[in-house]
Amino acid sequence: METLPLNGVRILDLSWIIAGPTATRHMAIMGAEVIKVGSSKRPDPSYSGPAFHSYNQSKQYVSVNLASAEGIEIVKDLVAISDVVIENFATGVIERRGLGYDVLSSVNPSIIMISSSGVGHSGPKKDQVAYGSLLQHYTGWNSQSGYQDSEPVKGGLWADPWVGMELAMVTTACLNYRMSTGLGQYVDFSMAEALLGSMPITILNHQLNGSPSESMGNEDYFDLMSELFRCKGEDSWLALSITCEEQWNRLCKSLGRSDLAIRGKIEKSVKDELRSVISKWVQGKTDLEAVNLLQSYGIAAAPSWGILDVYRDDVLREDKYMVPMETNDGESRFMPSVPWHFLQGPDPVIGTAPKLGQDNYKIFRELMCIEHSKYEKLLTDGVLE
Amino acid sequence: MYENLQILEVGGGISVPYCGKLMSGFGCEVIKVEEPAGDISRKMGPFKEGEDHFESGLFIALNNGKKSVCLDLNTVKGEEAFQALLKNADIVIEGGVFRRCIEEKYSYKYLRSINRELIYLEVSDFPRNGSRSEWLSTDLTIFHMSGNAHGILGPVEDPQNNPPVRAGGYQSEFLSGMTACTALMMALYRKNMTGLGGYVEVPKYEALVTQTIAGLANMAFGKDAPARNLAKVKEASVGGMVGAVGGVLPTNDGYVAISPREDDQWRRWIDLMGSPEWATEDRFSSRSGRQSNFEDLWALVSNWTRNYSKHYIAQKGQENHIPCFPVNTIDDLFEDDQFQYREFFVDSKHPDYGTLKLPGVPYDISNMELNLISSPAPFLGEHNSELLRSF
Repeated sequence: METLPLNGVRILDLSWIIAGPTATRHMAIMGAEVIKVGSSKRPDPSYSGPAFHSYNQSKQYVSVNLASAEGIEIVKDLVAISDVVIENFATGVIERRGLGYDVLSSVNPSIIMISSSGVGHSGPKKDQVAYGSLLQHYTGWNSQSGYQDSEPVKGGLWADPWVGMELAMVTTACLNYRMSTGLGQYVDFSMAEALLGSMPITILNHQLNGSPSESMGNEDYFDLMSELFRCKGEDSWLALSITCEEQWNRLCKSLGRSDLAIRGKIEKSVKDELRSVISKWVQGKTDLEAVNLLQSYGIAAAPSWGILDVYRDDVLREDKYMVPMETNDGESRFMPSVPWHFLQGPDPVIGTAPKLGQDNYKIFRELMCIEHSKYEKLLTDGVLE
Repeated sequence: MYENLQILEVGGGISVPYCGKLMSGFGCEVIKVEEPAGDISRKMGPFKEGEDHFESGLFIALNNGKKSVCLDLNTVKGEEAFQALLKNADIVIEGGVFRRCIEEKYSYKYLRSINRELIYLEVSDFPRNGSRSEWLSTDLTIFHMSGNAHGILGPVEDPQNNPPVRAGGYQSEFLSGMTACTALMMALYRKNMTGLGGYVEVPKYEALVTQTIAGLANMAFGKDAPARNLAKVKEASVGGMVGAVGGVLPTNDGYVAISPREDDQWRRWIDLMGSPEWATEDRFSSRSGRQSNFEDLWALVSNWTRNYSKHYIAQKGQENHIPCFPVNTIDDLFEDDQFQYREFFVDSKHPDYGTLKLPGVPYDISNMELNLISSPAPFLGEHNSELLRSF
């Protein structure tokens, strides 16, 4: 098998910042041809930083002035030869540009248009100004995390990359559907709802037990122990889960404390004692020393890593998740790939993130066959940059 | 199209059933193949306290619309029943069950010998070919190891006594299930184009690491990792917003989250507060000034927000185009006019619990009917007689 799963799919990518570009990046790496459209007048806010190199791997990048009528016509011409259009502007922006679904579907009836915004494109709050980090508060996603009785946690960068993945999923779902039905689609996607989709436990617990949802820190509804223990070194931690009685007893035996073995219910005093035994046991060990021993005992354990530790992780490199590639400044660096492995077929394509406008000639002259004199005029007029 | 696809879901907990649930939402027929002990999520919380139920709320949320057969893959009879199901299936989604079977006999090679066109999607913990393939993991350990936990609390005053924390609600599991669904959709696309099925592995660890591709790029370019120690933080980094002013503020009934990061947003926010005198101080006049004096600034703003309710401030803020939202409780969410208008929460009837509100999906697809409200989650082996008639 010579081809990647999404070979033959062409995506016109009008999206920017994080969520939309992340979705098309996953699809580009899996073989889709992604044409990213940008403009130096309203540059992608992520363009100047390193993250752009992750969010935009394996794409082509053209520059079109979307404030000009001719620019809009060129985008429509691209829509006519694309399978998917994706955008994540604030609600209403794409329509005001003259690129709403009614326009695009008249140009190409089988186009799949993906529109993602903070709270979706309908409803009384559709025009609200949103950032992913604020939506994590709005939906209560952050409130389900953190220590009990503390102020809401900061929450990390979660909503945008999650949405990037889910947009790739739903886009591919529409491509499959189109193959058998021929139907194009307009997909109205809400980032806030994406967060809530992952929260059934918190939502149900509230309905079943009435109490306001309580964050549990590292503790667990179900596992017998679920905690962090401080290891040797600065800010170094062991994350440990005991999921069943058999594991509990095995751990007690391995630590020479078979007297703490349990059958049935766990007394609080026994749990406190095991906790203190583990705390003392890990004190003189690094996180990985402790983890390796616990894994050899058959206990789920891991270090709590910062991003630099993850970046350096050998397992990610040996599994070709972190792949050496040349970034567009000419340096070779390890960059992330995709979190799945297709046994059959070639390896995914991890291409260098593009520079704005680098593919103008290829797309406009070679793909769209715009005549030389017209192409030059579009450049002179500032429609293309 | 999706209604013609049959999926065998072999594996309990959250990630594999969540992937199955998403596929069921597109219309696929999903058959849970459960071991005699049943899907472990039947016993995971939450339950209604003080009542005795066979299924947890979580199980109901993840499994409505599915069928359940119960068989023991380690017996001859169970294997024969499984083979019969496998012959008719298009997809197997599996996580951890086959590895526990005798001699790991249910390999891709074995499955393919029975159904050549099958797509076999395995949700593993760590890459099967890697040196950590034998490691055990849980939602907790994967979340922490993948670098996600360090961002949740943000910087803390005393990192030696405030360990990093995982996100609540089993996010590692949900993310892995959703990621698996993306991979499955891509495998289906390939099959639609070429007729070829195949084996696809989705390691949960890598699914979680993919949440951090921005951070990985920063490391690749030699940037500093975000400090967990507040004392080492040079500028405001709030709510994941590196270099952007924003975060939560106390109100008279909870918290409100705001981020007036741009100059014009900040000016409108000052107007909203009635232009207090301190807002004209030089140190707050530029975006970088507001970032480096973040703590003083936040204390001053808090003095104002404490007088009002979170919904009032959020509404007034949004009227003035300031990014601003209340920190909602679950009750707030059910009452929120936006989710009501979009009919996001769906009512699900269950014989034990009555009607429960479950989250729907975040996508409205113009020309595709989704299947979100259907039969209640199945009892263990409820469909044995229907699907395993000859056994």
